[in-house]
Amino acid sequence: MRARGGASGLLTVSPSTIYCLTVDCADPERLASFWCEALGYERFETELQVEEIEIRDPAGRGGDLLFVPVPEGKAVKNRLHLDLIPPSTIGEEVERLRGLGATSAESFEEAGWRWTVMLDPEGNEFCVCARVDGSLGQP
Amino acid sequence: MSGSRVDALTLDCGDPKLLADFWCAALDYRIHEADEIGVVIRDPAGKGWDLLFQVVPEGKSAKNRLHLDLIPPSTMKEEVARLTSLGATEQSYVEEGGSYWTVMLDPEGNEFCLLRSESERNG
Repeated sequence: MRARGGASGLLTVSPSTIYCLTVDCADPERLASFWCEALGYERFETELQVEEIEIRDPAGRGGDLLFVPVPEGKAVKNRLHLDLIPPSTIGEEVERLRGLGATSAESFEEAGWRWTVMLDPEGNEFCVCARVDGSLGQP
Repeated sequence: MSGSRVDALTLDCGDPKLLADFWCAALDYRIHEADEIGVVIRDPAGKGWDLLFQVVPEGKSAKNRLHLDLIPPSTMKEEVARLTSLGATEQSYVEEGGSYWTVMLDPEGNEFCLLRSESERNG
């Protein structure tokens, strides 16, 4: 986005950048371990308080995930969730993630996509998705 | 075996266009795709996650357990003012553990945090 400024005419206005997705949870250790295995992420040492755990993609893609302990439990369906593209087929990846502690719910197909809704070890919803035509992920 | 990779962060919402426009302006993202599922916005630099805004019938009823943390380009104060002018609301200012941040709400009340800028962290 641009804003008018000064004698030079147009001046670029820098936007905010996403640093991380923070996940409220009961057990940061358990969730961080699950998501590291799910995504191939690694723990990132920070100056944060010890009970918070931050993980990031070693290839530097996307934002970090930060697991923060909170006193309250999950009460309703999350309004934010991650959509994942599996390295293999949806079915194979769902099985792998179940082996890591996730549970799977329903599968859907709509608008050229197929996906399976899963819950992480604390019940946070996420989806394993692929394009039906195989152009992204393997259905 | 390598893991799954994150394709997008999906946000349930009432008005995908309203949220897509806000978050495009907040992050300098572009609308990538709009179909019957919702609106996808994308970082033109190819670095950040895609955000997908999908319509759901139910409204927001509790504090979100997942939220984005943003780093402002200049100062937290200037960015709070810019995001407020785009339709966000400042909810609270928090000082904790030697750090500080501002909790904000997007136009549909989704919480997000504005952290210190690079220069504020190093200053």
